[in-house]
Amino acid sequence: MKKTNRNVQKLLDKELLTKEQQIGIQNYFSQGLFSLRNELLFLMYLSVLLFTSGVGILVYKNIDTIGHSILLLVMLALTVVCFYFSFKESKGFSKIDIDFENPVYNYLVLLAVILSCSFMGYIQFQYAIFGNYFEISIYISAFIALASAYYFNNKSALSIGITALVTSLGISLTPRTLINNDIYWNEMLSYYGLLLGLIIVLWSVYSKKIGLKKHFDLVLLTFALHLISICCIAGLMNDIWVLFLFLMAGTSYFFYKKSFEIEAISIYIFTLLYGFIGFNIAIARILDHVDLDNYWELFIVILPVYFITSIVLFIKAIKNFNKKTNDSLQ
Amino acid sequence: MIAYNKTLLENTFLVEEAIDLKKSGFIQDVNLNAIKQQLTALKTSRNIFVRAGFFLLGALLYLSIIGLLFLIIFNLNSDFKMAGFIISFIGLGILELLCSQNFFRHGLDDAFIIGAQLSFYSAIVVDSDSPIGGFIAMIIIGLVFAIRYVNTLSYLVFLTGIVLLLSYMLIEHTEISAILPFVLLAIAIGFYYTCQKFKDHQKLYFYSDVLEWFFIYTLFLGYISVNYFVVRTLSEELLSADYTQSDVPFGWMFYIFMFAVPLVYIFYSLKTKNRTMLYIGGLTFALSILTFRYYHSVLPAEWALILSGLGIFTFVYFVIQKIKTNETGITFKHDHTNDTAMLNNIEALIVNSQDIKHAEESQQSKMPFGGGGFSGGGAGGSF
Repeated sequence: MKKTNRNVQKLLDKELLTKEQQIGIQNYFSQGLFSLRNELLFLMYLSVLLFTSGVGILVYKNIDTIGHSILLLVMLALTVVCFYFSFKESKGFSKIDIDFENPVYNYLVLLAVILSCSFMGYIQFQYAIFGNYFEISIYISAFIALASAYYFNNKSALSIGITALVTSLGISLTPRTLINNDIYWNEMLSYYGLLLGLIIVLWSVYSKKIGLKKHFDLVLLTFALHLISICCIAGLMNDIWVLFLFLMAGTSYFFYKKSFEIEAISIYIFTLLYGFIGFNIAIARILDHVDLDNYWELFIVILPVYFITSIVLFIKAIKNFNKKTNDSLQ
Repeated sequence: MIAYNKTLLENTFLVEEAIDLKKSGFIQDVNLNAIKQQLTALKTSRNIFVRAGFFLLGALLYLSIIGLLFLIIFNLNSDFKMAGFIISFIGLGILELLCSQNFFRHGLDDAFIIGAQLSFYSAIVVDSDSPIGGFIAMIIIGLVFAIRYVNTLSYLVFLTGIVLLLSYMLIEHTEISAILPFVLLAIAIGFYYTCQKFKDHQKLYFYSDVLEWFFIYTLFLGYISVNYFVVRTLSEELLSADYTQSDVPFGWMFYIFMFAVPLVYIFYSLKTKNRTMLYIGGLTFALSILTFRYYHSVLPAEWALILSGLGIFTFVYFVIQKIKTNETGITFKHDHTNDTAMLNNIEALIVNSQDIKHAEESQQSKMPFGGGGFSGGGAGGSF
């Protein structure tokens, strides 16, 4: 506090703040407020994750026993109860960023969504209610999650819903699979992934136009960026890489513009990174067609220069971004 | 004494404060832009990822410079004893150059600060065949670097040097090595009072971040010195004691301390309204629970997860009910200085680190029935 006061005083001395602003700041700090809001809500979030992980393991361990069906029933009952209270407390659907009177209910919604997704997964696994059309159970999960996301204004539910959609394509794109590097891949997935990514982008543009939940933009675009870029990079390895090169260029340009628009440095950095990877792959593909035997000395000389130039350009790009926006991550 | 122009350094801090004030909504964009234009600041990276990126670049730069010089200067017959010092001095030279170019907490300078110190310490340890020289060097050089370059990490090196030197002397040169945990606790308490004394000192204005980290280091040191796992592992390693049959001497005391210290942190932080201390209290409390479970598996994992989830949920719910109406002191109101939108985004992105069942379902179902053996639901991240 003393540090802030001192700095504010200094700024005042340099006439960069007005007296009113300084008094306002001092009044605020002299109230001695200590808000535990974020900390408590995060704990709540943690408790939901712990609880659902525990339930997941418990159900899994009891597969093929009589307890399993009972557990599934309990899960269903709990989901219904959570949804019941969430609906009761909700202010109804709204296009803008609204919140429950009591933010605890956000986490009740999250609990309900995770439980219902787990429920759908297990019931399909155990009883195969949709036969071999396992996608249907995933689509239902995705629908529940997305509907909850838009009705209750819940970003975590949105994220679960999109992941479910991605999963239905057969791509398991979670941080854990990325870290463990066990992503399934075949050529067809690239096209499906691209299509889904495109739909998400179009949806984000459209919802921005009609003013529907504008604050979901960051989550939507983050998913779209990673999905499209990974698919494009996978596509660049294919025979028809020229097509994907144009797609990649278009994507990078779009997200580059978009990151300035929504002032998100995370999207900006990942766009640059994916663009750089794509660019390098494209160069490698081109070099494939060139007979390198005569040029390899030149190649070795150019390589360090190339890297240093890219580093310098990267630094310049970040500076440029910081100058043009006042991003919160600055 | 300080490598930077003091006016510029002060401006840097003022601009940072202004950015914080802008985020909290106390001042407007216009004010911030005016401040940024009026005050020339040093080149800093406020974003930790950007800084880490520059750090990597700096490290690469350092390595390539050393590699080039060694190619030119050294051959197989050269005396490599001085190599560490030479590397260190090269680093120092470039660091001074960067400082004169106004790089401050930028990432590039960090690489050279760390690199120069690391090579110096390792050179001393290799040359003197005893870690004591290294520890003493850590104390001296760390402090010098911390003061000259206003660098937090060097200050932590300085503190670590003190701790290591005292522990080493205690273990190697006395008969009473078993009291190491208490000595560490005493050091932590000593650090704490030193820190409190200098915290709001006018002349140490530039070092307020360094002192903040001093405080954090002290809290962690205090906790680690009484953590049961640390005490047990250390005494097994250093005193080659065997605790398979019996418990550590005063083992029960460490169990009590291990939970008491975080609770003290939490309550004291609520009293003094110190957010950092509160986080450390929460973190160390969780560590204590994990330590306890490591030695005594009281519950199967799934029930532990479910019950802890329920427990935390109820606890938080009642706390919220209790402080919801508070207007001053500890409240549940929106805080100007603490960003909620950010938290929501983070929550949304990490919710998928937990395996929700459908994630594996799709791949499983492609296979014929009966093939078991897929991994269980989501113990991964949360442990």
